[in-house]
Amino acid sequence: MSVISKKICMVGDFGVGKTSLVRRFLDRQFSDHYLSTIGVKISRKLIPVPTDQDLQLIIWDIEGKTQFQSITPHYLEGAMGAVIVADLNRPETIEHIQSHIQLLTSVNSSTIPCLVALNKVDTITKSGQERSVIAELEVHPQVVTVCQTSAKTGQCVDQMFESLAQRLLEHHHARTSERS
Amino acid sequence: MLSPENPLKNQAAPIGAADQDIDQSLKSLVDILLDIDADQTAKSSATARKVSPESWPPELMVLPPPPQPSVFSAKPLTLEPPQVHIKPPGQPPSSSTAKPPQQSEFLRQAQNDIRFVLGRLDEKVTRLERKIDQPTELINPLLPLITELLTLKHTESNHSLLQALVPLIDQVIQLRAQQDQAKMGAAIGDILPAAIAHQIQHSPAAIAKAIAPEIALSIQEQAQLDPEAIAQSLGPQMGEAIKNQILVEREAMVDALYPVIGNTISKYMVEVVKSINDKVEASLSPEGILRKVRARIRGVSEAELILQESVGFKVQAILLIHKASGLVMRDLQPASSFQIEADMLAGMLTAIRSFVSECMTQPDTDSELHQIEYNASKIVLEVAGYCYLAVIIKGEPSPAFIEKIRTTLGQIVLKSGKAIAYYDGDPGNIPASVDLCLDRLLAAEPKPAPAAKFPVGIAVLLGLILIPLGFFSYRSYVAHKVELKTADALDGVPELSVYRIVPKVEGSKLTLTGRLPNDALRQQAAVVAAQVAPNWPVANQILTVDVPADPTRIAGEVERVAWIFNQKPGVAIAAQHQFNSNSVDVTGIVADFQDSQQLTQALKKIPGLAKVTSTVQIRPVLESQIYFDLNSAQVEASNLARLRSIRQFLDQNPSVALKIIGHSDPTGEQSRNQQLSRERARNVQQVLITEGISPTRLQVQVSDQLPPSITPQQPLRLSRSVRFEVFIPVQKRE
Ligand SMILES: Nc1nc2c(ncn2[C@@H]2O[C@H](COP(=O)(O)OP(=O)(O)OP(=O)(O)O)[C@@H](O)[C@H]2O)c(=O)[nH]1
Ligand SMILES: [Mg+2]
Repeated sequence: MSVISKKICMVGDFGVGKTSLVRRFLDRQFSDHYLSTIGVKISRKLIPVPTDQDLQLIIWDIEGKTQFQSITPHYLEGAMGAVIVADLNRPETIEHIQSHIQLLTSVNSSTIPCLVALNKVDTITKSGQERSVIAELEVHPQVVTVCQTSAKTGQCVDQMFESLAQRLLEHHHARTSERS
Repeated sequence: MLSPENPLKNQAAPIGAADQDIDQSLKSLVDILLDIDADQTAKSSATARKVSPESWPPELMVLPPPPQPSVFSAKPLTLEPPQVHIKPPGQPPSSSTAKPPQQSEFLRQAQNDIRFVLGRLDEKVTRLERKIDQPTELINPLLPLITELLTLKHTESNHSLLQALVPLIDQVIQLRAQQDQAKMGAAIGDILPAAIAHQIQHSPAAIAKAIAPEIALSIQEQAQLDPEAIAQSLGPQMGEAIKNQILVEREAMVDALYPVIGNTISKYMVEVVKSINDKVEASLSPEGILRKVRARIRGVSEAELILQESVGFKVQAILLIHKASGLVMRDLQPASSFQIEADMLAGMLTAIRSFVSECMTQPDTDSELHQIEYNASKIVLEVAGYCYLAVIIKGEPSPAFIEKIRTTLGQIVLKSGKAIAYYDGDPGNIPASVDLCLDRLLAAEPKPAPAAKFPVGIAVLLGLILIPLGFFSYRSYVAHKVELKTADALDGVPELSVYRIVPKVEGSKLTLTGRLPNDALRQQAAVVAAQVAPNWPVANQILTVDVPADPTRIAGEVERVAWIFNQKPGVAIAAQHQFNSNSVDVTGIVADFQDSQQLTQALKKIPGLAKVTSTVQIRPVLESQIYFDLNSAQVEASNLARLRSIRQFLDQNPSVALKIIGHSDPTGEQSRNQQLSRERARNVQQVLITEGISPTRLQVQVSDQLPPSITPQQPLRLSRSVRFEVFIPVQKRE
């Protein structure tokens, strides 16, 4: 029995924690050391599906957008889902979420499911001011959910990837049954 | 009045007797027009032709000035009645004195004639108008006339007629084609190319836009029927259209053109190579010979070619990759070679390709990555449409094999382009014909060619010089061959493939260098080398180095060995490295006793590892099947013992999961069978769950095939069953 593979992309500004989130999800590890990603790092994760074909996530961790360099649209091609990451401590990274989604939908099908990860929640002392942002993002048609994550503590990381996997499977089966 | 939308209507044709009449009128009209045209051409200089219509006297505007295509073609032969009415026949032109002197008497005469004709025409039209209420009836009689005009006049003044008629052709063709295709075809066939040429010259962009979307499709169709013909008939005019289409939908275009272009290019290359060969042949002057000798001494060119052909190469993997996403659609790796992580490699290759085409491209050109080389291997990339092939080759592939890669991809794209374009991550959706093509490519592997051929002439000429040189070069490629074969064989042994051992022919010996952690491995390497190259004495210069037990390294090697074994059919094991005790626990199943032995051996050879504990089971335990009654999904009590032993097995192997696959006999309704198969598998799963196995380790599957090893000739009850497959739910494999 074969495995279904889906490409997903980690998208966001530099240093928001894309690589750290992937590392937490795959290796259950975290490091304070910042090593900026250059180009793309690809990893994979098998999600066993007890009742059906297993799902394999091919995760493209893409270098972050900086002031001088935008995201290479080619890297986003063929993605079936995406995690848009922002840093709760850097408001501008949250503002950029919309444009990342826009880039994704322009390169791929406009129905691509996106997950928003507002990361580094462990560093926030008082909470609440991000609520309006979350509310706004949650009504976006492409956004599946908005999670407040921490690659450091692992908060919400697994749930986030799993809900994206869930959505990918639903998408897949909807499309397959359409075709047959 | 007459409707202005339809120019044909304005030239209303008489019915019956009036037909001839109007025919005559139109003919003389055209004659006059042509005369004016000829007259004008003769008299005016090139600059005079540029005079704008505004500078013509107003009454002349009644006649569209022939040398002005823009005006003429905008209102061709429409002879709008209102203009005629403004100047009724007989009334002299009021401003005739203002005419420029070069307007001849003839012109004036012609003008009057035309007015006269037009006036009559108009009269008739208005008369006719009352009789006619069916517009098609009106047009139909006119068609033979136009057809005739076309055949009559085009030879005389192709240009002006063309300008006049281009906009009309459309409507005429449409109508006439419905009535008499053959005649119409014959009539306009002659001038159509000219008309199209005209239009292309006039507004290439518009033509390109108009026909571009159809091109890709029709080419694809035609390419399937006759690739040769289409390559020839793709005229230069298509350039613009193709460019446009490439902008609009690039992939589809590539899909369509690939089979054609591939052929064309390779044909071209054959010619180029031939011409080079001819030149080389012809340059057998003294200098030429010297150059040849020098080339041979340095071991380039010819020698290199000979080497390429004789050394041979080995395909290590063929990956069919979805271009946009980098997902692997097919992954072929010969069982003997080291297994490559296809998914990761494909992703990385795709990223690199994107990088190259994004960052290395000059405007308006395309950069494409064709090869990546590393050590003695290379990855050959061949792209078409929505996919590309990555072929990982050890050694130097022959040009014939590269060509084979190309044609294979051409076939795949042609046959399965659509499924590939819409690939959704499930390899099952790629048609099986793709496997056939790829298998053939894998099978097309290299037989090392016999010793290279030398042209007799050169051999005679250079005989004396070349004998020692030839011997030298022969030895060098034989040596190279031996080195490659040995390296391959060493790679094929799992416990050795982890290390880098370099076989090298030195003098008459085969020397092995490298580092290995213990003497057992060192001996094994020498044995392997001796088997591969029995005629070469082996000088074993491998160093055994005492590697301090580094737990991460050991864990890594344990994982690698486990991974290698898991690639074998029938093997599903997990090797757990215990950091504290520095030992390994192996669980899972293997196909036979030999596997189990080999596995333990391979693990024991990992230096620094203290202990290997294996509770690996040999497969037959799970060959047991659960059988069901006809039309029943109930698990009979007689099966419980069998299920308990399966539970025991799962208890002993906590890292192993089970696929429970339901089958039904092939009789009866399919949907019912499917349901039965599912219920059977579910019920077995339920029993195991009640026995205490976690549901996450039990995957239910339904198959609409007969169970493997059951043939249709065997009793039906054997296919009413549930069988088991064991697998390791892989968490991570970095
Ligand atoms: N406290 C805290 N720090 C984090 C968290 N996630 C990431 N970091 C830190 O933020 C820095 C950047 O993390 P990366 O994961 O490398 O960021 P990135 O988005 O991959 O960056 P680029 O690859 O440059 O685009 C690192 O120093 C991480 O340790 C988090 O959840 N909490
Ligand atoms: Mg990163």
